[in-house]
Amino acid sequence: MSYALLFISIVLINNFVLAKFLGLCPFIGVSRRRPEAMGMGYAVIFVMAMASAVTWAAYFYLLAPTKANVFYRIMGEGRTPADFDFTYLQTIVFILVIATLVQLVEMFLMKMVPALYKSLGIYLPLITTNCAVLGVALLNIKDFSRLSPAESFFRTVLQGLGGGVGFLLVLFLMSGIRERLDRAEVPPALKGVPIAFICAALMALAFMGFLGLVK
Amino acid sequence: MRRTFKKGGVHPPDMKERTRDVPIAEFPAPALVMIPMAQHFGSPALPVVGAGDKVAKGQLIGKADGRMSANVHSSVSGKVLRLEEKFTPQGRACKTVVIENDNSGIWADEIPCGRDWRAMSPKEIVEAVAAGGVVGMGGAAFPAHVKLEPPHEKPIDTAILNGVECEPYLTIDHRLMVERAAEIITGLRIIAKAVAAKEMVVGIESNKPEALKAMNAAAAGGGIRVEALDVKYPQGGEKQLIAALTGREVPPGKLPFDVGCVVHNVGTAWAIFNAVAKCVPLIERPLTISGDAIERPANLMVPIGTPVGAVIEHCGLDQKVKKILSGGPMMGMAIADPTIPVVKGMSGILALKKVPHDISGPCIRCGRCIEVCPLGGIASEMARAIEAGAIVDYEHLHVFDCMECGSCSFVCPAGRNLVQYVRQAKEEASYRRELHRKQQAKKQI
Amino acid sequence: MIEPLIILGSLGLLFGAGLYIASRVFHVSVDPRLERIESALPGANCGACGLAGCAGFARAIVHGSAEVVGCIPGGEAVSHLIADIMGVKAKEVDKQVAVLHCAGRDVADRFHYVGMKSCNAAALFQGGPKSCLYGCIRFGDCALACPFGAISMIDGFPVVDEGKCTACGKCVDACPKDLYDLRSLKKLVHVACRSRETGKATRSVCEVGCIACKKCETVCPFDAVHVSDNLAVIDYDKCTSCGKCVSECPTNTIRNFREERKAKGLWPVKVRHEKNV
Repeated sequence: MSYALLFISIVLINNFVLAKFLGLCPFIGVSRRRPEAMGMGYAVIFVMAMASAVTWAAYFYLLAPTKANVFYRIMGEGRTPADFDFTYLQTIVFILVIATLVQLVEMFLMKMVPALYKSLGIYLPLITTNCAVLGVALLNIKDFSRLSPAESFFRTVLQGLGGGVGFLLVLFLMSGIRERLDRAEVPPALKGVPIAFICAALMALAFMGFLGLVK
Repeated sequence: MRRTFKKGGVHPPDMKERTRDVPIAEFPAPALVMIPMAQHFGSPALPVVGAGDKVAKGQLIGKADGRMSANVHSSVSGKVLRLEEKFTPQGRACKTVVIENDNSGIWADEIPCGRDWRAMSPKEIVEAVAAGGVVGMGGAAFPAHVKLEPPHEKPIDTAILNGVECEPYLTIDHRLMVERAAEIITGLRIIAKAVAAKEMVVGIESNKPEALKAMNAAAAGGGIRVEALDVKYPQGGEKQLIAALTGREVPPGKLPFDVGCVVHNVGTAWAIFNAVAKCVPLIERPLTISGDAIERPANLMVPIGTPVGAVIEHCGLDQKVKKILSGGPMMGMAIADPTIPVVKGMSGILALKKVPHDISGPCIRCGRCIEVCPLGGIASEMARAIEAGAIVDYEHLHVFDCMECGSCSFVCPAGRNLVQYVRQAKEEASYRRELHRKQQAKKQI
Repeated sequence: MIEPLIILGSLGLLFGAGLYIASRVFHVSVDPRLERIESALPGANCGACGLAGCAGFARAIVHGSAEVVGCIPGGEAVSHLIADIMGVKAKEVDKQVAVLHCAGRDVADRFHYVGMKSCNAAALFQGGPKSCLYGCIRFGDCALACPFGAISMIDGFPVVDEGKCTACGKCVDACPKDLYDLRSLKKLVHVACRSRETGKATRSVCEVGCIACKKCETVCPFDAVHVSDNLAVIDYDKCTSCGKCVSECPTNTIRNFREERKAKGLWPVKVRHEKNV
């Protein structure tokens, strides 16, 4: 039950775009046409889930002051795990890890699965340093690092997946709205991105309504 | 409660009292008739006469070009003056044969004849109808013989006659039913024989009690059901009439054939009777001439090709006229030029002092057009798409299902010319389709 | 203090090496010319080449299924760039412009038209409201269709800015009366009328319509103008833009674009010399 709650909460209530205001650049940039928005959304789900898993590993084995820390294992004789607390490095390390991961995945897809690359690959470089992806990694640590390793890993991946799904949902809705906006009579000063931001704000207000869903 | 169709519809004021009780009078053939080759839906007929030829009344002057086309006959006897490009009331130009009337009224050979339609096979009936150049007289001018030849895999069980006449002002079907009920009923029997339909139904709106009485009397004891329907526009649409009478719904993109029905207008039934039983081709048609700018509203039997101006003059025109329409006020087309000829599909001529939609404002999103659309279409969105040039959307907005009944334009409080937008969207969409097809072909090379 | 350096340094080394190996393992060869051609194209995605956007055109060139001179808006300059990239010699590109074959600014209306303000919609209805059935309806579908802003409605009549025109052909498609043609910039003399009506009928609705008097036909020393079906038509293969017919035309239907183009610096046309590659 709590897993389902976690998933719903990250998709609707704590939506990355509309509640946390992360990932706004692709949200405005790639929401002009529905097919592109869908492609971007799938790519984000994929990358968020992968990045969550990988950053969890990086945190748990490299940065966190636990007995599993690689440095503690190698040089830990006579010292406590607390001496190996590198958590202050997490932002830099996560960026490094995510960027490398996305690059690798892109190359892999281009070679091995060209069909998937065509529909997904072109969006991958756009997500490399997306704040939503980094955001989910940092949020995972904040939320779940105190749980047992297995439990925290599972929740981390679930949160990554849910964050992506929430992003896809909002991007899809937005692209539908913007396709119609293209045909609407908008005052010249508001044409294009300005009216899109107004719509985004209204959508954020609407999503606030989901707050009452849990508790 | 009387039956009607369920989805959408409007109730325009019916305005029929001006001509309801005026009997159909003969309109004398004018000195010059102009007979267009494209009076029907489909490819235009090919002219078979040239300038200087003598023609007799009822003589073939345009031959059907393929199956989806119709023969055209001379409505007077006289001499062909010339062939020229001329606009028809439908708005497009086509080849038109101009004939000078010699007023002798000599019929072509073997017309009229007397033959027993009961002895004719369905195939012979269809051939006779095609030879007579009969087309749908309700307005769409669909070649009638095509509707008498259902494909083998689609058996027809019900032949329906359309006596609804839901357009305001028009009373011509009504007068025809009152005065020629027997001929119309025979026409229905001929239709039913041609398509092998067991059931025969006549649908008439309840605001025509006299027509109901006359048709009931003519149909008595013959296995024909004459049904009074509740008044609602556009009940005269094929799909709406089928829904009202049988409860069957014709899916988008399908034909009445697909639900086992065939629908003909009462005027068409009368023309079919003439063509089959009397060998008389469709060379004249009844017209309602009405509207507040007409001094002597009338129902007239007018030879095809008569200039609209001559007919209007006959009935007297008020100087304050603003707009002249061919057909009813809902679906009719404006006439720009008094020399435009009367054609087979024209059901009336209206002259009005008031133009309903003079200014057209922006959409206020009230949704009334969606409410009244009998086909569940979204006219406001179609108009928006064509305004923005968003061609991708036409396909999923189903513009081609629209029959242009005009209910949306009628209710639009902003006075938007929604039907014109849809018509334009259809035009644009077919053009894009063609373009796309060409590009695909280019790519393959 | 040494640990963060070690951590970040070793991670960086590790990932860098990993990416290097991966780029070798997963190497896919992409034609480098594709990208260069794409960057050379205007990027308007106008479709004048008949292919799906500029990227589609670039792919077709690399494939060999499209000509290097296929990009009409890009014109000569782009064709030469592409030819350089592909290593072939570009043929001489003849710069074309859209020419409007109507000058009927003062043609009156036959009837009062209410409805969509679009030439195409109006033309569907008995040929449109203008008295001349062959002439401009003046709702400006061409100006709307032009992706380069080269057609503007001046006093409600379309005017082509030949400096901006790229001969993409959108106006030719958009005009329901088929009043536009794409013509070489070198051709200066054009008939500003499309009316096939008899001289008398044309004269009764338009001051500047062709009345089929055949004076141009008589005066032309190159046998390039012919009146057929009540309209003077120029055979551009023979026309030398000498302008004799222009001064002879009694209705000022045949017009010379020389002065106008001179003023804009479009005439004489600069011909770029080919370089051998």
